[in-house]
Amino acid sequence: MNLTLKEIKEINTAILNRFGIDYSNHSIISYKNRLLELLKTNNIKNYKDLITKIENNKLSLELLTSQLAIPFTEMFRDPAMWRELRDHVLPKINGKIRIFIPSCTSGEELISMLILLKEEGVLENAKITVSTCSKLIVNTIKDAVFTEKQIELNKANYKRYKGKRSLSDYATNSNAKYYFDELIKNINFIDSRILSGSQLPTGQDIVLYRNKLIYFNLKMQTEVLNIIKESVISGGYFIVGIMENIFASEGMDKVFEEVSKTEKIYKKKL
Amino acid sequence: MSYKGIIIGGSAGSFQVVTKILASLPANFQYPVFLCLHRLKHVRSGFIEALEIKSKLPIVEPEDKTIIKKGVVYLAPSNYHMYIDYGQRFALSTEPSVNYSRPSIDLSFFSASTSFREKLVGIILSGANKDGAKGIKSVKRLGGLTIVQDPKEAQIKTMPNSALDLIEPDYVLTTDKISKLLNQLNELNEKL
Repeated sequence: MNLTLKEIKEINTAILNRFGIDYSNHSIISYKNRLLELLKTNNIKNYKDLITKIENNKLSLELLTSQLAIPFTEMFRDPAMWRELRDHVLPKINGKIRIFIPSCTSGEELISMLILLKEEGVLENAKITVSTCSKLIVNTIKDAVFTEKQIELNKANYKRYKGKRSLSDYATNSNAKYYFDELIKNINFIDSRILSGSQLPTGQDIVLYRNKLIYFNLKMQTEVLNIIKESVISGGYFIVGIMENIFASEGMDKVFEEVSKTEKIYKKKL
Repeated sequence: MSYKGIIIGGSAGSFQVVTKILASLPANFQYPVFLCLHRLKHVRSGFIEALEIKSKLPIVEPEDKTIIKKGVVYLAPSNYHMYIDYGQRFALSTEPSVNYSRPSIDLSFFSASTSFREKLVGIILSGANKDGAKGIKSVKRLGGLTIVQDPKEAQIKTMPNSALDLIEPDYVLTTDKISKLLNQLNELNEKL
């Protein structure tokens, strides 16, 4: 099955009319992949049937947004970034550490952050806010279940991160599944789509927003950055994916300065 | 026919082939070259440097939303899928692996063929899995020029053979002949 640009536009119109959410500025190729996956998962024959389902309330907003979200696939992805965060960013933050992870689609980034903070002995000082676009995603994050295969990859990343223990120390293991749910405590989950105008936390010391901008076109990237920058405290840190380019968006050079070019860690100017 | 881009997919056994092809291309090469090669996900550096030694063209790993320019060789970054987006920009993605691979050759080829249609040249080289076969089929279906490295020459034949199972390409060529053909296309393009 394939979807033409015209068909995708019709789907977008249906979602916009029904839920008020605009997908038209999402990066088209990955968005098309998600739509095709959504059709397959829900056994929907073609785009017309999808539109009918949306219009007739047969597909909830929760289900739609969670299935269109692209899950993170690794803990400690880009170990060098996590080392940089641990060795060069964290020591510069005094007292309470306020961390915001916007638009979480699965638990890997949060779990990596919790482990880092715990091993550095500062977890008690941290206040972490996570925003998601769907309660179904919050449940997935809280369940924190990973397969054997996923764990192998995560372990390899953790080893390169040079963590202090073994990754499996943080999980309970049964029936070839690993449960990290014990770690997910005292997290402030908020329900928010960045462009929906809902309140995001402010005064954050670290905002971790990796590999999200790649799913937007340049117009939407710029809009989103202009909102998220307000969450970062002056002198606080903003981190994006290692192949993302915030300076492609006009005006960002006036807001952020580079702390690590390779790991894409930025500091908000005073 | 004037083409607008060359896309090359390869895996095990393709490194030397790519190096040879790149070494043969002139500094005034008129097309962007997209390289989607399977590589170790945790090794971020060194690959470009190794490819660059004999290339007259600059080689870069494109960041997300980089604008595509002719005469530049773009190497898919490790642990991302590399899409050639409509509107002449790259789009990167961390979607799950396809054919155990990220970057996936199929995904890069699908996107490039959809964006460039008949103005794309797709090349599949040596490799140990079938990634790329469906991708080059898409190039063929949309009217692009298709080339498969001669399995007799390929160090690992699985990838070219998988492509040949799905399509009859325009050319089945050795490394030297692929280089020659790309140079001819470039000369034709100069005359246009």
